[in-house]
Parts: sequence; C-alpha cells; structure tokens
Amino acid sequence: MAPKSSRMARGTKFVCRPVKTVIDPIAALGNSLQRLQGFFNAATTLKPSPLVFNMDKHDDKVQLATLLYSHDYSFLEGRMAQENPELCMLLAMLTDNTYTPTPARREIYEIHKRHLYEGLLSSLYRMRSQKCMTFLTAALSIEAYKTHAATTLIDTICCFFRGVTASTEWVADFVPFALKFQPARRHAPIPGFALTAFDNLQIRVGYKAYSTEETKDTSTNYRLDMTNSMELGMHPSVGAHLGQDTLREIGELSPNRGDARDSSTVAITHTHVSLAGSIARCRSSWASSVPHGHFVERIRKTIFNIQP
Amino acid sequence: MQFLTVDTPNQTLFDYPADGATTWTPQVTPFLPMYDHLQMEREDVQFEMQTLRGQFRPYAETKVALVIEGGDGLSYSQMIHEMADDPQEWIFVSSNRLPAVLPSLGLEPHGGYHGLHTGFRNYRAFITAVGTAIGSAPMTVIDPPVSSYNCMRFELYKLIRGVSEWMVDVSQTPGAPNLNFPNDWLAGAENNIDFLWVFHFLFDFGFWWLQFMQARRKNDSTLLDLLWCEFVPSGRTMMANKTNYGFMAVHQVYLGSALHPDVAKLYHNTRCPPSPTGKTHVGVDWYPEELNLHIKADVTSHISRAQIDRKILEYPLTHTVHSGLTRLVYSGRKEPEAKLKKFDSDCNSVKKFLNEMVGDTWKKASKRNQVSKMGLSTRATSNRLPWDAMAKSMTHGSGGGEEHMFVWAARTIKRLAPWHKWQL
Repeated sequence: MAPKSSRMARGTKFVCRPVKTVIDPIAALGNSLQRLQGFFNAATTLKPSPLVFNMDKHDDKVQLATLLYSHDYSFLEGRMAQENPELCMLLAMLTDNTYTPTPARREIYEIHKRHLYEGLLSSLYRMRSQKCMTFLTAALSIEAYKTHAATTLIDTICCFFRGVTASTEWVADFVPFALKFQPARRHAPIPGFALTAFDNLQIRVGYKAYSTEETKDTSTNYRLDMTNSMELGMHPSVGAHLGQDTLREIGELSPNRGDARDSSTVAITHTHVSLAGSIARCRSSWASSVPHGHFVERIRKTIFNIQP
Repeated sequence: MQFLTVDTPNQTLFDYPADGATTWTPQVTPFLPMYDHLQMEREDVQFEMQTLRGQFRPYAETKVALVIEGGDGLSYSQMIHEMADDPQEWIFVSSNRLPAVLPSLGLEPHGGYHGLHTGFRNYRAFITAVGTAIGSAPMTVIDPPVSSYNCMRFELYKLIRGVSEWMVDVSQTPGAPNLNFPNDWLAGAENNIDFLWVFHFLFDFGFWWLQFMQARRKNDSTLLDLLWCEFVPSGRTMMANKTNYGFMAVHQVYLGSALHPDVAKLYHNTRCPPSPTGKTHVGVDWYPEELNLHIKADVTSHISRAQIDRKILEYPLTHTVHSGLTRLVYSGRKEPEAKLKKFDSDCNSVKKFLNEMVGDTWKKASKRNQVSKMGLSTRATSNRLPWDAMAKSMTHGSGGGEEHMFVWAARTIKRLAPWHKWQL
C-alpha cells in the first residue's frame, strides 16, 4: 500500500472511480469480427463506378465516348478511390512507408497518391472482367494509339498491367465508334461569323536514299500535295457586339443613302452584302490618311534622317 | 527604350505581356484535306477559298454571312489578288451566295519569321560580325530559312539583349544623352560608323521586332498595323527584298483601318487568336501548322490519302484526350515559366565585343571614325548602308525607279481594293 503522502495517494483522493461496466467478451469479439468481416467484404468487392463502363452495353460505350471529349479530365481524380474507400485503406496499409512529404510538397504528394490508387483500381476492374473498361484505360489506350506505341509494348503492358491500356484491336474498334459522338461546339457560335485557316502540306512518299542511276525514271516514289484547313471556334466574347443579323445587314447599302461608293459599287443593290460598301462608309480612307496620319509619323521615327 | 517594358510583369524586354493570356482557347474542327492543291497557283487558292466558304453554305442553314480565311504569306497574297480581280465573287456577294470572305495574314510563325528575316538580311554584315566574334554559328548563316526560325529567334534575343545592355552601360558614362531621346543618340552615332550600325540595328530592327512579337502576344491589332507601316521601308530594300510582304503590309493596314466598325472589331479581335495553351496569342496560321505537324507525326508509314483522312477525322478525339491527360498529369505542379535559356555569357561576349569595337564610353563611342573596326565592309556596305537603303526605299520603287512611298502605297491599294472610292 502506498503511503498517504505519496503522489498516487494524493492523486486518487480527488478522482472518482469509474463505474465498472460488465462487458461480455464473447459478444464484443463477435462484434469486432462482424465489423472486420464487413470491412473485408467491402474491401474485397469492387463497387460500381461511373468511370467504369461495360463494353457489352451500348449506352455505356456512348457514355464513355462522350466523356472522352470532355475538355477537362479533373473529374477523374480520385473518383474510383471514392467508390472503394475500404480497399483503398487496405492498399494504403500495404504501401505505407516512412516517407513524410515536406509541407511544400504535401499537396502534390497527395495528388500523385490519388493518381496511383486510380491506376491500381483501374487494373483491378480490368482484371475482374475484360468487358469492364475504365475511363483511364480508354484514355491511355487512345493516347498510346496516337503516339504510335509499339505493339509489343502494348501487348506486354496488357499482359502484366491490364489497367494501363486496352488491346490495339479494341482501340481500332472503339475510335471510329467514338467519332460519332463528337460534341458540336465548345463555344456558342458568333452570329453570322466563322474563322478558318488553311496551309499546305507536302509529304514525300516512298522516297529512298539509295537511288542510283539505274533506278532513275523507274522510281515509284511520289509527293503527296495537299492543303489542310480548319474552323477555329472562337469564344462568343469575340463577337459580343454583333446582333443576329448584323453581318448580313452590313453593306446592304442603297445608293440613295449617299454613301461614298464608286459607280460599280452603286450598282450593287441592297440585296447584296458588300463589305466594300461597309469600307466606304468608314470615316477614314487609306488614301486620305496616308499623307497625314500616323504612318508618316512612325516612319519618320523609324528612319530618323528622313524629312517629310 | 522603356516602351517595351512598361506592360511586362518584370519590366524586362523578354517577358510575356501581362495581358496576353486568355481563359479560353479556340476549338479546332479540321476539314478533310484538299489534295493536289497548294498555294503557288491562283487557281489552287481560288479552289481552296471556295471549298472553305462551301463549308458554310447554304446561308439558310449555317447563317454564316462572313468567313475570315487565314493563311501564310503566299495564301494571303493570292487571296487579296483574287479578291481584287473578282470582288463580285468574294466581297460583293449576293444574298444567295453568302458568305462573303475576308482574308487574314498569319502573324506567327509566318509574319514573325518574315520580320526577322528582313532584319537579318538588312543587317547581315553586323550580325555576322558579332556572330563570328562570339562564336555563334547560327548568326553567321547567310540567309536563315523558315525551318530555322526558332533558332534564329533565340540568337536575335541574345543579340538584342547584348546590344541593349551595352547601350545602357554607355548611357551611364559622362556626356551620354538620355536613352529616351533617340535623336541625340543618332547624332552621336553618326560620328562613328560602327556605332551607327549598332544604333540602327537596335532601333530600326531589334526593337521593331520585339515590339511586333509583344503586340502579337496580346493581339494588339492596332499596334500591329502601325508596325506593318514601319516594316514597309525596311522590307522594300534591295537586301531585304520582301516585295510581297510590302504590298501585303499595305493591304493589312487598309483592312485594319477601313472596315466597317462592326467587321473591323471582329477582324481585330480574331487577328491573333489565343494559343492552344491560352497563355499567349499566336497567328491564325499557327493552327494549320500544328495540324500539319500532327499529320506528319501520326502518319509515318503506309502513307495514303485514306490514312491521312482518317487521322484528320480522329484529330478532335485524339487531341482532346491528349490535352485532357496532359492537364491532369501536370495538375498541381508549378506552372512552367516561359523562360529563355540562360545566355548571360553570350550577352557579356557581345558587350565585350562592342566595348572593343565601338567603345565602352560615350566619349569613345561617339569619337569620329569612318573606317569600320568591325570590318563591316562587305557587300552590304559597299552597296548601300541599310538605313540609307531604307531611306532610298521611301522615294524609290523596288525596281530602282523613282517613286515616293506614299505614291506607291496609294497605287498598291488602288490596285488591291479597286472598289474603293478615294477621298483625295
């Protein structure tokens, strides 16, 4: 027994002794086991995820194709991990190490970790059934296709890491299918306006470095000439000043309105759209501005020894 | 000298302008290639213009009344001549033949390259002398091709910075005028032929080109027009021989100043669209170049028309996936800074060279000297000095005959815009 002046005696003087509760050890163990069982059941079952698609279902394929056209893939981050928290907990325990990121690196460390879980989960979904296609696998497969990843490399990856990329056959089937679901526009159209651009391209086909005098005039090589073009969909803010019919109406000038137009322009009636007419409406013209405008000033500034 | 740095974040010559970035990027929708058509022949460009316009016909369905068609210099040249020859077809378009067509000249990479090329040709003797002295092989290239644009840009940055720093050093020596008064500098430089080369290189070409790049980066279309005006005298010299870009510059200024205000706003807003990353603005020719690059990278074997068509049709998907994954993978990381590779030692070499050849103080630099220490007595100097050639181009045509620049500009635009009634 401790002496009355001891620290323990002094401490116990004011502490209420807790009320003893009777716990049934068997029931408690059963409870724990039940929770453990629940955890393992949850951890060993891959949950359905909106980013996992059944390739036997047409709707799922359409959904995947549409999703691939998204401008922003941030929805992918940690999404499959959210559906499978127990499994991720297990994976975290399995892959735990002593590394502690510095405060500056913590955020990026967490992002990378989430990406790694997504990769692991993608592999697991794909291992469970080859009909299951995760968004990540589909996107990476298309990227591998785009960058001409070697077939041997893809086959090897498919053999060991099925969640990384699907087979080349799958991509060859899926890409033409996905093309049908290209969204119309990212930006709302600018009323009456389109911006396009074009440029030429020449590709040499079948050129060989070992041409000789003997092969002269017998070569089958040729040059493929082409001009490529495109529409550049611009943000509506670019044409915010335009009404629905502004561009159509511009230049629909009647000769009676006294616009500065020459005789050939006047012949154009109001049923015509005439940019030239619009040009003439503008207050200044090139010819009148040349001798007096900033043109001279700037040129004089550039070439200092020039006198007007 | 400060005019280039006032709107850049770190107040240095090479920063991107603070207001150059956008929150959106254009959506690229490629069309199938037009095979067997390039831009050398007018008929080809005519066909291409029609095909592009045809994508937006009929008006009743698309409601597109105006199409801007952008391209490189050759395309632009062909387009504006085609329009001048047949304005009824492209500009005076009846309502059942809409849309009308407006041309746009690609300013990056093509415009930027031709600006640089002009300066490299005019100041070749000086650039080669510096390149030889500091051991820069690209600077000694006689006539840099468009394929070496990026390399030459870097060399030019080096040179501009080196020469600018040398001028700043000289400006801090006794007797030197304030850098804000270029006429005083010119007066001093005229005593020393080497100093004169340095001065004209920097003020007439180096700063012009930097300002052109900055204006393009923030789509300052009005400033671009002004810079095209300044380009004309240097582009029309015998050495530069940019005769096509001369009349194209005039035409651009015409479009920039004479369009209907609503159309003009559209034209200026879309002249340099945002880059694919949204961090800056590029020329309208950037996107077809990028598509061509994509085709060349993707169609590497079994090249056929069918294969190229397929790759172009797949472009929106493959490109979206590529950029989506790239953004995801690099999310949370520090934004890569648009930073030039360090070339401090090269700049120091340029400064050292100029200190030796021109002088390290205002007194030495402006001392009378008419025999070039840099050895600038090549073909350029034996014929005509660049600034003299530019002065001559103000009063003489490219063929050598006497014709004042304004007369030439008026004649050019009358030819290219025959529909316009002039208020003379």
